[in-house]
Amino acid sequence: MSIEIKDIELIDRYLDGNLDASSKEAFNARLQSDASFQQLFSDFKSTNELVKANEMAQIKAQLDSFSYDSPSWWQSNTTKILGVVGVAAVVTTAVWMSSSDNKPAATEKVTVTQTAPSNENSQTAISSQEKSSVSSKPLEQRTIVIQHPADYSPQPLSTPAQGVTPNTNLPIKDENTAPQPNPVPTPSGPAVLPPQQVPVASPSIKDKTPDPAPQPLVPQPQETPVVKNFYLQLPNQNWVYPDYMKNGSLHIVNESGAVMNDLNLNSSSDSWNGTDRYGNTVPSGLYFYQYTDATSGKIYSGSITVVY
Amino acid sequence: MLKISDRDIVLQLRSGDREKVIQHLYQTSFPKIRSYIVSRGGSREDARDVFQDTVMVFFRKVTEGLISEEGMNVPAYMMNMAKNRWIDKIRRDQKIQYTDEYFPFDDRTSNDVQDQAMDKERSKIIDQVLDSLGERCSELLRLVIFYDMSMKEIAEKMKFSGEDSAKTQHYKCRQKLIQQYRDNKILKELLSKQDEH
Repeated sequence: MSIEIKDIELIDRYLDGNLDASSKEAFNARLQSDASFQQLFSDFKSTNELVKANEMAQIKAQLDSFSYDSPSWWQSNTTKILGVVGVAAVVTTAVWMSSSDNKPAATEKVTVTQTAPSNENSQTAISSQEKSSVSSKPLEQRTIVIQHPADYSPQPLSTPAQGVTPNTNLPIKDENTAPQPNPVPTPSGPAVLPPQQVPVASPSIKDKTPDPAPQPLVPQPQETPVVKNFYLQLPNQNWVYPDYMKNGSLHIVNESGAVMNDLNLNSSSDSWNGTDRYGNTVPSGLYFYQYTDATSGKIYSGSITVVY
Repeated sequence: MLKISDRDIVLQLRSGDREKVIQHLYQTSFPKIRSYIVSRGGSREDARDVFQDTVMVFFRKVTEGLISEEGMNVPAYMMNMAKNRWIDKIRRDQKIQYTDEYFPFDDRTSNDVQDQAMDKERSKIIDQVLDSLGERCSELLRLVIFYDMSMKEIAEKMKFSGEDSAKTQHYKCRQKLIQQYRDNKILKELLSKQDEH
């Protein structure tokens, strides 16, 4: 079956809409009556689709040739972001404390020393490249300038904040970004990480070992907590739910507010293992949770700092 | 980094020069799209899929003449398309209850655009068929059929002596392609198998 050039030209013009009404009519009539012309018309369109699909395949092949992994920028950016958030939180806390009084402020220099990683397990999530960069940087010192009221007596970073008496006339700070002294007096003990430690620990993600050592995630006995911040070191720890979180819904979001996990807590669930709703472990970072108790309707919230 | 103006992106795509444009889009738009999707709970694989899909839709829209080079903001256009495709995806998967609304932007016409890219076996045979036509013929057909270029533009780009010469060559190439297509039994078998699916 020979293929006539003039027929190809005719089909091309027809498909481009370049035939006048009478030619179009003649074309349609021929399609009905001439089987070989009909076949040519069909093959013309099929080969068009082939060329188009082939070009799409070439585009896809080029797109597939790129690298889409590049976890390094994400890790490093996360570290930077957490560093900024942590330092900002420390400064905000300090400013808040200094603003509790109109007395002239004194300036204090605090040197935070971060130690090199000591736990082999904690390094499992980092690449070998990062591992080498971490180990070549054993110590990192950061100097943070904090303003305090004149009558402020310095507290060691590792002690809870109860030693500082907040001015009760001040409004409560944003709970999610500025860790604060807990307004409800609580028994002291190792149960909960003192709020001041959270931002200090955050910049140490890259160094893998927070300073000081993470506190166990055992709830502090407390009747009516409003805000409580937690610290979770993965993959070794789970966040063991406090006693008051036994029956209700728990939402965990990331810094941007995107939902990471929605959990229904009941008697069979006792901890969160740091996974999102698809079962993937969440990246290190600052997360926020909100728990609504099914019985009382009471809402509890706070932050979870996740490090590896 | 490869820098191409927004206007040139559209013009180059329309004239079939895709490689540099794809490279440019990968370097400029992908990091933003990835950042957006990862920050909303998506994975890096999600970001890759959305980016690839967005590029392919963008190509189709440019080559179908639906996008003008005048006043075109390619990064913003790519980002809006990617956002809509991501919202589409999570709504389809119903994995996350999401409250973001669609951006006022009509780009949801070719959801299965990647499905149009052929599987590797078919693609290889088509490659062979097009190669057998010769480089100039396969290039000419690519520019006419996919990029919808006019004979005048093709004559200029491929250095034909004139529009008529390009047109004659075009029909000859069409003739050869259809003949090869008819003679290639493996290709026909593959296509008929594909149709059964």
